[in-house]
Amino acid sequence: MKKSYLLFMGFCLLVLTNAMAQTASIKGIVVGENSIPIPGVTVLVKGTTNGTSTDFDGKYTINANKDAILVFSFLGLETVEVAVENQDTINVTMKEDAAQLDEVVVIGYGTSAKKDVTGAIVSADLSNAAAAANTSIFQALQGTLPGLNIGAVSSAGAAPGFSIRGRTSLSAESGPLIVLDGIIYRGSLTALNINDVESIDVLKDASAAAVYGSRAASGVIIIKTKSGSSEKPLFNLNTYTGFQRAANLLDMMDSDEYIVKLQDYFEALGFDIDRNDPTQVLNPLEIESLNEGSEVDWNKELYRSAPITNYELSVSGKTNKTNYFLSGSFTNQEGIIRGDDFERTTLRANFSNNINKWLEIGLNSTYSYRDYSGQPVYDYPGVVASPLSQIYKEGDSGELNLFPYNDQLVRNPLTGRLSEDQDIREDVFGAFYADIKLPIKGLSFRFDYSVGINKRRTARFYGLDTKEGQDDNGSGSKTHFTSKDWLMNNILTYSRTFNDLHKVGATIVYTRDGSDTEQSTLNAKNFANLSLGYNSLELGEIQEVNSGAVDDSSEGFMARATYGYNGKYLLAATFRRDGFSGFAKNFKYANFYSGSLAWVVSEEGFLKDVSWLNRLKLRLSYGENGNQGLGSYSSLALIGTSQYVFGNGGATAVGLSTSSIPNDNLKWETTKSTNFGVNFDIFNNRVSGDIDVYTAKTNDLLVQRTLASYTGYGSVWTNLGKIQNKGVEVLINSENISSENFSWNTSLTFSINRNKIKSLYGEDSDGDGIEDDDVSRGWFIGESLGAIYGYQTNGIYQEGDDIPSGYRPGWFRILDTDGVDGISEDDRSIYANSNPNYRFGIKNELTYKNLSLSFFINSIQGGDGWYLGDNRALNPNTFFPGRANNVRLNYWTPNNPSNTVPAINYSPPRGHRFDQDRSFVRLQDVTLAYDLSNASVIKKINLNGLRFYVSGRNLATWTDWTGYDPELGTTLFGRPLAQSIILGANISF
Amino acid sequence: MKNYRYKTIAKIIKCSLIVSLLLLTFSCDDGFLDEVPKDRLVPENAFKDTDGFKAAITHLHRSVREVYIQKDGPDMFFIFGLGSDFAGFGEGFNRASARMDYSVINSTDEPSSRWWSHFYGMIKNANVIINRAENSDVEWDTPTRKDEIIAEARFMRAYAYRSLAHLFGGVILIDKELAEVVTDRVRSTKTETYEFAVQDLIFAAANLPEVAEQDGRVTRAAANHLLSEVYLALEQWENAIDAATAVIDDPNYELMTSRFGTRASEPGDVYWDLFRTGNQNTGGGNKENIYSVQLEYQTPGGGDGTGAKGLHVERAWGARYHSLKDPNGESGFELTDLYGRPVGWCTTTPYLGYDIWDIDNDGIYDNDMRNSEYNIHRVDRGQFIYNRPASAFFGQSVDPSDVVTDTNVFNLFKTGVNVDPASIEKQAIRFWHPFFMKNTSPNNHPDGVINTGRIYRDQYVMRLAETYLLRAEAYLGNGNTSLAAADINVVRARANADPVDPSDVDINYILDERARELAMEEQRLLTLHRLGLQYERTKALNPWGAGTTIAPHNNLWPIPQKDIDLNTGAVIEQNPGY
Repeated sequence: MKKSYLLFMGFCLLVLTNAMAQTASIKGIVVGENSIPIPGVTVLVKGTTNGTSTDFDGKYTINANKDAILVFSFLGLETVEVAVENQDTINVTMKEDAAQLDEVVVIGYGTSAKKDVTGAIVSADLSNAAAAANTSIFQALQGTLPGLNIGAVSSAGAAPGFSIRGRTSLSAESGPLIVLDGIIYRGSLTALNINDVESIDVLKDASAAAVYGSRAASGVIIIKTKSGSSEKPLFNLNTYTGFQRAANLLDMMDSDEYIVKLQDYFEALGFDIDRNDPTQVLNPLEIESLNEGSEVDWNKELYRSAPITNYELSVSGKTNKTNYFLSGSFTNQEGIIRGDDFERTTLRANFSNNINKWLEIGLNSTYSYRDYSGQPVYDYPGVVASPLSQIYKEGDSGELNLFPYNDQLVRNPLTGRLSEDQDIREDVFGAFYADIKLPIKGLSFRFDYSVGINKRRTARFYGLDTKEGQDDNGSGSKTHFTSKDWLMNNILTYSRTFNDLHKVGATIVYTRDGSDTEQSTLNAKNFANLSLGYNSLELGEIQEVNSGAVDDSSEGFMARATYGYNGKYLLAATFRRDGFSGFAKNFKYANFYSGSLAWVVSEEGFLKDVSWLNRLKLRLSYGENGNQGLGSYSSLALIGTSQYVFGNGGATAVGLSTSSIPNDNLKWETTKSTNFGVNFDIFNNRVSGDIDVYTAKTNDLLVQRTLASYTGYGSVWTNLGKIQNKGVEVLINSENISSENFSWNTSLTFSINRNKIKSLYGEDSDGDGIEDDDVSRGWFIGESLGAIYGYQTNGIYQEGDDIPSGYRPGWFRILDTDGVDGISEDDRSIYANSNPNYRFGIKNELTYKNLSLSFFINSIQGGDGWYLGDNRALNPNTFFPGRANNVRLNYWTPNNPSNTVPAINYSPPRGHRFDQDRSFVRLQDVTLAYDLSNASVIKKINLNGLRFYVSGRNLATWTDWTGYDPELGTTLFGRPLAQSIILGANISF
Repeated sequence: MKNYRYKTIAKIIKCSLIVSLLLLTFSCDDGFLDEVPKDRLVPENAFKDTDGFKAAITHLHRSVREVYIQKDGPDMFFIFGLGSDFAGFGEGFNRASARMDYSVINSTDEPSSRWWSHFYGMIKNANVIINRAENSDVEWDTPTRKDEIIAEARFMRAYAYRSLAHLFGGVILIDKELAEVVTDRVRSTKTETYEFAVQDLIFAAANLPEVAEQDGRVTRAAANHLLSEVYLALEQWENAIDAATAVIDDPNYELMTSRFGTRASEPGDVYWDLFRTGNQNTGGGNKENIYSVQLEYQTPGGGDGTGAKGLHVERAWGARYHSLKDPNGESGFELTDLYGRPVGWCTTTPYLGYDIWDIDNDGIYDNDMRNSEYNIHRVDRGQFIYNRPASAFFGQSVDPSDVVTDTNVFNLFKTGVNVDPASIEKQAIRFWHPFFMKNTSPNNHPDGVINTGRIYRDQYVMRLAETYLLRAEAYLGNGNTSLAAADINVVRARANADPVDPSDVDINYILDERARELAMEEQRLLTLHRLGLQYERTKALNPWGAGTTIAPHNNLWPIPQKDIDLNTGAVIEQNPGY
């Protein structure tokens, strides 16, 4: 029975195929440009539904008519059509889609083909991101995207600060919104493993970001994690190990110079100094060191060459229904400053399944464990402590001297490590989704629900060998912090193309999210027994508790409509209504609008024949975004607590007092911006570029307005003032040379931003018709937020100069700007800017056969009074008042008439800045990789790919800045930047 | 075709309905964006019953204590008379803040803005209590509680305004809780400011209890004492006399005349007893105490949450004996429980250290318990004894004529800041200037902790001896020197000092007597500012930087520039000279 049935079926098929045309079985192999087989390529007989896909080895077999045409397609590759023409073997080489016109970008609550995008969206190049000593994703992006400004970090496992397109706010937190796999992410960026990330897209302009309304004023960064891409399970092992050290340390005096410095110092103060008797200016411990001939190099004591190691293993794959990506990573980073250690373990599981034709569900989840335990040495005394210090007490006990040269204000930096310290952070994040295809073509519904839980446990104990412990007979504390945030999206999407001409899309979103945080802190001191440390705080005779809990919640409704005509004219409009609990009762909700249009000029007939122009697209957009970055309870009158005791031996009594004035009208800060952009591909797609020009105006700024002290309050949150940002961003990619064995690609980023305060409090107290500035905060109408206001210096007074009273030779000459003789408050002026003038980055990638070299140069430039930092390291008299710092400075003396560094006892009657240009050019990343993936031996041992790399970070910095680092702006009290070199391997099988 | 379209539309409607329903289920709970803080109080739930108001009053007492307990810094000294006729500053800090150079004090002066803000903070907190107590929903535990609470708050408000008026002259009067930003206030006159305080104190005196519910709370006697002082400032002598008399005649108060308290059996005298730990409160048997702020060793709330621990009088005023070297130039001292660890920042003037104790100027100290061997340790009495066993001079008295200070001036210098070399010599004085033993806990520093310079004794804000001297001032203002002398002599009699003759009583004599009785307790600066004598007295009696630089306009402090700048809707007049 069965047999006959099969026979019957076979007969029917035969009849069917014969009825159409003569068919043949065709087979072949599909490879990429690098000759590697591509699994999963769709092979289709043109004009039919007859299709198959390539297997693990890129092989396929298909039945087709002899006159049929086969269509090979794969996402990201150019579609290839081949006529069968009686062949029975058709091998195909597929090229990358050079213009990547069909590249998909995540746009928030959905995706879009890149060519259809109307806003300013830029995608990050993550190709070398995992091959560098980056512990945070954004460290890898530093400088690579124009307009996305990411700072450097100076401690192990730290997350950098970042901003998009300049500062739009005066007081409210102004970091971009992070969206992880479609979910607004409130966790830490260092909790994510960079190798788990598939793509990062940045929504820079307001129209693109407007879908996130109230939180998008500082831009939106969209991170998508990986999923499986082939049927064959793909294992990937990435590991590296390397060393880091301080990229730059301050140039410190040795003991001889130190003694001369002290002698100079006291002589400058008017003491008679015997230059031959150093003991006159030294403390007993210093004299001891001098006699022993011992000397301390604090840089060596505090900083070290520190190892970093990293292991990552992932497996991914897909079947026709299921897609999975699993990974684990372990990172161990020791900080360049002793005692600053970081350890991280991350796990990720991404999973999705097509339950049936219309339902797909998935879960993206991650867990991370970060251990920051251990206190680093104190960095600040390192630049001021005497080189003639005695680090250890006499004898062999190894006990540290608390005050290594008798100065009670300078602790032994190494005692920073004596406390027992614990700092452990755990993050769990899970996002569930269901995608439902509704029974109308093009209509689908998506539901997201996510939960993030962050826990942080910190504890510290100071024993009797520390200053703190001695003061309190042991003191300890322990804090447990937990936050839980949740989010829910309901997204209805409609997308369809009519008549191959009209592409219509619509999205409606209802979203809600909230967070609960709580924390409790236990403090104890005066310990009956110190041996158990922070694990038994009840041994402390004085115990204090502290607890806190904060909630917030938000609600949003968003609608978006898009329309495209023949890929030529594109329109998009969005509306969002948002509510946030942190705002005052009269202003819980606000509306945000945006509109954008794009014109793909190159599709027009008159440009069709311009052969060098492959694509030209013009974009214009307008959008509104909000900023709610002020947290909970800011509009309320709150009560603070204190403690007191009545009577002898009385119990603790609680005191209450109001700590803030309510503001029932506190509302969103709104940024309205306009963006004009151009995207182009020219010269056969070898050069492509994005250019954007924008202007953004922020209104109703959230400002913590200072109140007169007579009110009894410090400040109140209010909405005041306007700020404007303008800028230009350029991104150019160029394929300079592309030959069989050698290629050279360059990408260039450039950005420039200017901001200006347009209005502050709207007050004009002196009645001159011009709005008042806020001198106390350095905010001036019509000036940049970075405006530097104060006394400008111009060289140093030399002996014999005409010196005004209060000044001496060797002191800075303050510019007398007001035309009235003598220096007064009126001589302060706005004379420079602390913001950068412009930023640029250049990345070059050279590939010769299997060897590739890439290097990235990052730069922030000042010049002409831009990007000036206040460098206290330049003041020889900087330390606690009356102690000169130990940086090797060529300070002024009567015999050394410096015109740049003042006298060693310099104490200006009027405070001023020590301005120095922070401009720098940095060789930020260099990666040399050798890719053995094509080697036959690799194939033989069944490996899919093998790559070795050496990469260096912050290898060289060219700058005039004399502090630790120009970008960090660290001067005397601060930390250096780490420089690292790692060696790694990436194996996939 | 038409049918097809209709079907599609029907499908769309159906789907929209399903989705809308889904959306609705999530969006229908109204008011979830309303904020109700979970972990902190708001006025609505804090001020609903007696307990809440009592806690608010507690905070005000803490604010008074903050006037006496400060972290290291110039702020900690001013109230006791640094930069006045009492003391000069031995070492650094900021020369303006430490009152080493009055000529550089301007409207950005730190102590001025520090204390301006502090007292206005108290006024704010008092206003909240005074306003909210009127709310009819408040549940009071006794029928008189509401008025008692308002009375205590008004006492505190008056205390703050009187302090501001002494220091700054007329100030901005804020008489109720502020619910919005204000930027248009102007100064009232000095008289108006005092009058405002008078009204508060009259209410307080009428409604505060006769006897405090707890040690450390205020009574009607405290209100009357302060009222008397404010009347003096207004030169309303009769009213000042009446208010002081109400205290003096109150049977709950009398001067302590015989040994009492925790250490009555040790060698000493009654004046010494007044300052021993545990002896200040009425509950400790002290009938002379009117109001004192409370300290408790190693108890939450017993010190101060801002980093300061304990009363800093030892640290500030004690002689820095432990830096003294023996005649061989070796270290002569180690820290001792007798004296603790003074830093010696406030160096007593010759006036306070010597002159007032020898009224007839015969070179021999007058008979006065307050200058007894127990109450002031003096190097010229041989009371500083080398205590470092390794010293060759162990057990011997320090001879002031061959006191060797640290020969390494730079070590000394390094503990100080930007001191002119010319004043270094003067620093030697602070190693052995007279040690007022009221400023330490001799031989019973708690837990033997002798290295902090802080002690844990309650601190008098008002003491009956001062009430007598206030009334004496009022009698003097009225021209009645014999009654003034009589009051002064009550105080002198307790100290076994010779009575003063009415013909010798003038304001300077009263100030001298206040110095003898109340040094480092009274807010000397406030007294001198109240009398407009800060300039005159400092110039005459402070031989150091303060005395040589002070000018008449320094009788008032500058109004903080910050408030002048932020008050954009009206002009706050600056005091002349700044």
